[in-house]
Amino acid sequence: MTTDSQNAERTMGAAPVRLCKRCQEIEATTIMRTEPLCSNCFVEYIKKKVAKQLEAYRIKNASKNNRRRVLLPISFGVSSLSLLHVLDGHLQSQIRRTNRTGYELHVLHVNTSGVDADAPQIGRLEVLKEKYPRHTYSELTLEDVFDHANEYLETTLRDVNINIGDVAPPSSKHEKLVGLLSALPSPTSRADVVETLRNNLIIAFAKENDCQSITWGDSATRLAEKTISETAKGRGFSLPWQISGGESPYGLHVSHPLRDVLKKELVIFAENVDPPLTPLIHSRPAPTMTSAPAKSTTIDDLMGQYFASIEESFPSIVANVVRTTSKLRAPEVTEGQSRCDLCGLPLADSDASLGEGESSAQSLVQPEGNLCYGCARTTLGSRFTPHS
Amino acid sequence: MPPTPCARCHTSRALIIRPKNQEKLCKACFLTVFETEIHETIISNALFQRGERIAIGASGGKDSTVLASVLKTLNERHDYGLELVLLSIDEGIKGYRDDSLETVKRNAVQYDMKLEIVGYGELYGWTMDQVVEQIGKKGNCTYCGVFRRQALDRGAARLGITHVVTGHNADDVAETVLMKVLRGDLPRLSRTTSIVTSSAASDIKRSKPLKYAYEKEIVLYAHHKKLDYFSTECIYSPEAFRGSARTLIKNLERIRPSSILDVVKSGEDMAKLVPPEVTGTSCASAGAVSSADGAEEGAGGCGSANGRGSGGEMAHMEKRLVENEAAEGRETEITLPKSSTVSNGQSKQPSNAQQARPARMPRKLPQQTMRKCTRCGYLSSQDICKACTLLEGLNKNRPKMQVEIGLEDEEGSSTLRRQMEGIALAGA
Repeated sequence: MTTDSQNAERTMGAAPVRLCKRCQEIEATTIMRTEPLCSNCFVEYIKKKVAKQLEAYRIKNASKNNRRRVLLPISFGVSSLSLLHVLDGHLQSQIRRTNRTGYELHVLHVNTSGVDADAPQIGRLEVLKEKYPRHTYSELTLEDVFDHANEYLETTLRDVNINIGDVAPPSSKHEKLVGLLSALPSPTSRADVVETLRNNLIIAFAKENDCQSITWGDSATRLAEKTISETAKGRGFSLPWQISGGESPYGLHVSHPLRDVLKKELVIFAENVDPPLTPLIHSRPAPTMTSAPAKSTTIDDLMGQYFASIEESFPSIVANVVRTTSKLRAPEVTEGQSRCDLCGLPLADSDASLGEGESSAQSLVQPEGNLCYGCARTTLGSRFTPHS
Repeated sequence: MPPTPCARCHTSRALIIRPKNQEKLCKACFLTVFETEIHETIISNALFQRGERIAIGASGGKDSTVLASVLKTLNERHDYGLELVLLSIDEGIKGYRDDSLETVKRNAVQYDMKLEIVGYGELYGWTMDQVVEQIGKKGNCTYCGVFRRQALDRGAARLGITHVVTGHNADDVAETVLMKVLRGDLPRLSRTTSIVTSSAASDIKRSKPLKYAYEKEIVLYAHHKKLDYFSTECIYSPEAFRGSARTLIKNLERIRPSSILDVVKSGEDMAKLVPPEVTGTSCASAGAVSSADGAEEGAGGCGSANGRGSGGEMAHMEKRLVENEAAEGRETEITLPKSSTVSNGQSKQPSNAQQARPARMPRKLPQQTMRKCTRCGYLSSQDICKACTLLEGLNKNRPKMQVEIGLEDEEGSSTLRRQMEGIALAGA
């Protein structure tokens, strides 16, 4: 990988001193794909690119009596904060022009600090509330999934050998969550289940709060990462729902307004808006790049590293992965179709068995619940051991 | 500490940790379970018919050697009633294929199978060494892949056989799935993932009985069975996308060993989601129909395992995509009523709004209808098949092309024109 990127032409990097190609006034500070741009024009360029994806949120598309509410999940990463910044500006300009808005924004942060030492601490939303006071803010902890998510969650987990009810009473939500995660067979499975639970919680919250749609801060790079990552986790069937946006099988509209913007572009964007978003961003310790992944590396980590290097040298390839994956067509979902008990996605007929070529004798545990392939895989080999 | 007993027979000492699921097995149980799984794959997919003659694409490498050995074992054990023949392609790569062909010749004796060798030299007038001399080390895998595909078919036809089995293993399939996703080449994904591929207009079908077998287990099987195979990798390096995908697969396997099969499973599912207007064929369902020319599936025995590519192929694609993007910027947008793209639009507000968005005119959608190459008669989606197109490029730069005589209409297992080239070359 390193050799690839070293040999390849770099599209971004040390720029010679020249004027911005758009305004022709200020010195260009960055090269956008092929154009040298000043920081103002760069920020405008990104905003425009995002605005193209916001058709659905335009005033003329808003219904008169029914205020549309859009849920924006925030992780405090560069992408979701950039999206909040752009949407805030978008709403402000709607007000400036017409004195009304096409939608209302509800910002949600699901705090995972209970199970992830590197996650942002509780209470960080306050800063955002001050900076962007127009919107509604909510904070939940991942543990709240036991209050909000589907009632079968614990039964489902019992089916895959995770009996969190066995935690010595009183079993708090936190103990349940820790018990669940510790029962999973690998770091990849833990990260995968955390993602699934967070997703469940966000969807449940959106429905409870009358949000008709969810807008995700995923950049093109993140969507490309997700494409390969979910493919590697056996969730290829779910890609149209995860990557394309539109109507989701959860009954909510889903959009990814940053789908045409690379992660590295958002980093520059966040540095160049005035005042910069950089102080708001929660940075996680950078994973170390090694030739062989460590035991604690997850599939998502691996893809994160991989696409970070790909987007440096081959940004268009990243964009192309997202574009072509978006062409996959979601299968028809019928009313009574059975769903995965864990992730809630519709089940296809073939999901019952784990990979052909694996006869029942080779599977260490045959999951009994009604799970999709990806969730069956991730919980396979789980063993709940109540800690002493 | 007492030795761990085998997880299956519970008597012998476990010597092998199965790469696929970490099961601790003794040697005998490992060999049995490996064979049994391939038997199950063959039976559940009804790969073979009684009395069928099967050509095993044999390179002398581990995959095809294990395939030949296992098929021979299973054919006898379960009385499949198959006649097995070895079919080898001589790409003409000195220090690699000439040595591996010696292995295949020994295998033919060991397994008591007939052997047929088809050479690029005799078929196309170009050995891979000559191709590389002409075009350099970059991009030569394309030539090799296109040539091999056709050569296998022609070799099979020569033997009067209509079913070729290849040694593609689970790692190869998973790698190709990732490669296709990275390259944005989803339309023909089903050819990669289906265990049997056949073309509507061709009688020769291909299958991959090792599709679910891990490369590591193939190596273990070959080792414990003391099979005679050739382990040197091709001296010409793999292309960047494949190298990149290969590194990813190796790392994924380290993180979660089941990943290889999980990628295969994802690939199978995704192939079903490719909309028909993108595949260009009406039946994408079973992935039964695929065009006969094409460069991929070349994994059978090519590429070094270290996955270092020159990056040339990726850089090339990047450049092309950037140019497309720039061209798009200059285009006037033509809007059409939104065709059925992604959303299966239950019209709620936002989706209504989305449908109002102008849909970009779809890029050219390749409609593939199969016909015969006007030059060599091989099955092709174009007037001139891919091999002949590549040959044309090569021949243009070859000085002694005056030998060309108008014999285009010649058909058969190899065209006279190509034989002429071969002779001209041998005489040179």
